[in-house]
Amino acid sequence: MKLLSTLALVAIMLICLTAKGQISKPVKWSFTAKRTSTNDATIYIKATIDDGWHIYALNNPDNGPVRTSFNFIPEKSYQLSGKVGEPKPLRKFEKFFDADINYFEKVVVFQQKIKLVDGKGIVKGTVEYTVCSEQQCLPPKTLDFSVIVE
Amino acid sequence: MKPFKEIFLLIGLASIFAIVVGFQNIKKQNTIKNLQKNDERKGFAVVELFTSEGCWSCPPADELIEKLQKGNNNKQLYIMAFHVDYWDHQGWKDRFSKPEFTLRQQQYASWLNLNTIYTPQIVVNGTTELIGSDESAVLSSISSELKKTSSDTFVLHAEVKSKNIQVTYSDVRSHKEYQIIIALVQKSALSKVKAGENAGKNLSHVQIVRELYQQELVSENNISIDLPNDFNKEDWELIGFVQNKSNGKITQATRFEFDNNVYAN
Repeated sequence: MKLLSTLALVAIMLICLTAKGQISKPVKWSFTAKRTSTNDATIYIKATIDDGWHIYALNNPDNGPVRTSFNFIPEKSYQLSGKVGEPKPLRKFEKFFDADINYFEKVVVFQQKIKLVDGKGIVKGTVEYTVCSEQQCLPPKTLDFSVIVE
Repeated sequence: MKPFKEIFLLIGLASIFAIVVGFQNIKKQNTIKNLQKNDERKGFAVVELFTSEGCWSCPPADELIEKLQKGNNNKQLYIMAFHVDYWDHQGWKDRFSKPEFTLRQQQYASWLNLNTIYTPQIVVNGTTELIGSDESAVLSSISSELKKTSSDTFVLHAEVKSKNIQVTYSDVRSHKEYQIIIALVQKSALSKVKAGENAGKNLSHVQIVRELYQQELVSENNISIDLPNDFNKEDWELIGFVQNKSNGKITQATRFEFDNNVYAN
């Protein structure tokens, strides 16, 4: 068994040496809304990220990578309550930036609380993000979204 | 004793790993030296890197083409770095970037059936695309193209005037499915990046495409290229190649040295 596990470890190391990246669309976004009271709701913005890829957190140094950012189009039917929230990101020191960089892998859900004027509305906006692997980055992308709150 | 056995095993594995990596590096260095040897009887490799000063994953790819270019005596190895403009929006504009270089990369995405463009990307002879920093794959692809049989070449000539460069090409077989592309290339440059992902860093570049002209392929023609302010004969060259308009395959390539002594080996 020991020999088998040793061989498996060596095989994994060799695979790591020859691994190649794949061209794909590595992030999928979904947008939902949940009412929390008569005039309050939360917009949930979920990014599902393929293995081996990551997106950057909202908070990163100015000289760091392209941060994920949100822009909500002002609308009479609602007002934003505070800023976009995010879970605790992964964090690692990137020698290239000479700084700690915050990022997310696999799944992340951002949240934005809103106050509804008449108890319903449509929240529209854009999310800008960059997705990278250890070897490559796709161009920064801006995605439109629209969420109905009823 | 058991913990010692495991420690020895781990040290042994780490040593094997280090030896494998060491051998791979030596092999890569030897491969680069072999690629740089001149052999005009063999095929050619047109290597196009899509890169940007605003992209953090790009410097390893820039370093790879620098290694290939430094000490290169192989006239059949044509290296070009296209600086794309989609990383320019963070308060920093890569001074070598142009929208047409991004369009060229998008054209490759279409020719090669890719879902998306990315940086750093290398395309070899218009048919094979690779992650620009994937040294083994890039070297293997170039090596494979150089081993192919030689193809016809064509004549490229240029005269530097006060405001422009008059380029003439001839001895090309006219074909409506092909286009001719002429790149004016600056062989090296150093940039201090002031903002964006690479802020504060000194980035070294080689084989930067500064101007790109393409037109329908005829047997011979003239092209006038605006003379850049920082042009000098020693540090610039022209690379010309013939490319299929429907699939991107590059079938012929040649260069014109403004300084004739560059490849006098």
